[in-house]
Amino acid sequence: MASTNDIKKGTVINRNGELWFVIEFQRVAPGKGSSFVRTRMKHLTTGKVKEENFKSAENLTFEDVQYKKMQYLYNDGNLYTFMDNQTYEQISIAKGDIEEAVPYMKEGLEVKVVIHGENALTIELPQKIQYTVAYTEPAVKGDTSSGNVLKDAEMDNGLKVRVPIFIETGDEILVNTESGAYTERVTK
Amino acid sequence: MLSREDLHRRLAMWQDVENKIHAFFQARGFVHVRTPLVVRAPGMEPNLDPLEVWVNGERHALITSPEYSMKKLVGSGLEKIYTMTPVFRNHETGSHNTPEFSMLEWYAPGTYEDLMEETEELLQFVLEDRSDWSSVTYEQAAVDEFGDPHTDLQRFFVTRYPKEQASLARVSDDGTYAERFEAFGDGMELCNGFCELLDPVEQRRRFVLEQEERRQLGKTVFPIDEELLEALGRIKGSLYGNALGLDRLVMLKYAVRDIHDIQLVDPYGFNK
Repeated sequence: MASTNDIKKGTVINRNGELWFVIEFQRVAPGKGSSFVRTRMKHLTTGKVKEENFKSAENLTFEDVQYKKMQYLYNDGNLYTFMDNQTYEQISIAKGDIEEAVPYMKEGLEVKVVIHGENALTIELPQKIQYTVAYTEPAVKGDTSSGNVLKDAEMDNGLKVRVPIFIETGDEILVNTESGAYTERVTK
Repeated sequence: MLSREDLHRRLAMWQDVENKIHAFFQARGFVHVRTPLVVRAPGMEPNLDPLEVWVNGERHALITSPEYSMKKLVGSGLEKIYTMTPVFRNHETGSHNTPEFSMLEWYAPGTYEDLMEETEELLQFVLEDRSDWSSVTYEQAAVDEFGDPHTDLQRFFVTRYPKEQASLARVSDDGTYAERFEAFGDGMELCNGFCELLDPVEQRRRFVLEQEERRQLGKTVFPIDEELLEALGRIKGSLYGNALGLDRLVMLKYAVRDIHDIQLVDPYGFNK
């Protein structure tokens, strides 16, 4: 048994047999009543995100998981294969276990593989990933005025992102993998 | 570092929102004021963790809100004031929270109802969206013990907080609820508005209780701001005040879901 005080980013909580990965947490001590921990958690296999608050006194079951830095190599239909750059060990994970991450995958991408006992459960993506814009329509002159005018763009791995109009084909951009949104252009 | 275009793009969002706020309040006769960031008596709420700083060997803190200074300005004779200022709260990190963020606060004579109406008009004006913000009571919104409402509404006000959660708000005349409301938009808490408590005796009683709670929680106990109590005693009639998270308003208007994606400068170099 563990306590809510031990919750950290990356903690895996077992709730009735289902494993939830803590993406974000915040300790809150309200004016009245006992303190609690506000969390955003992601279901390790379905990728569903939910918010849940845990009271201080609550007993929780944590799962002992390990995170291994690995590089994405290739996919073979249903299986995605990753390699440990130090040991050259390879691990394959079913597409269904990394459903949310699939659109972000690109060759050579470094991810954290979540390992529970002998099993690779899923992967954690970096918060921001860099892509090359494979195609986007050139901006129409004159629509650069206001704050946040966006247009469609396709990345080199097929990922579709809405980008600001100053972005051109061939630019490198960072994409926020939690929101799926454009963050910024990488300065050359 | 951000590219020039990204910087301009983010800056344009902030400027749009800030310019509209200035236009809104100046048209209504409000005066823009500045307030100190380093104070001896920061917000006393037991749930807040002020960032402590030492000035000439004495413990101070960065403000968690400009509220005390704003009320002192009202006590000294200013009637309708607003400010946009950095505020600081430790242990607040996430896609909607950063330890340093920006707050819009405004104060004017009037009632709780006046403030809700004004807040709705401000939001409609800044967001350039005339749709109504529905109002639901604390009970209807099924606010849980953690302060989170549970409703299908997208943009709404939660009204009539229980009097135990009055904080610096007045309790209604019939004694059943606190004259406090919050606005929520796209899952973010946007603002906290009060009809302000102006009774220095009751305010001192609440501060003493909060000091005791802070002591029990093992948090720093800050001194009571005596000048604030004096200022409260000088304010005639009824005063409302609202504190609105500026970063979240920018996020709401431009549908940005991560607060870090509107920062002009990354204070910690997270992207490296």
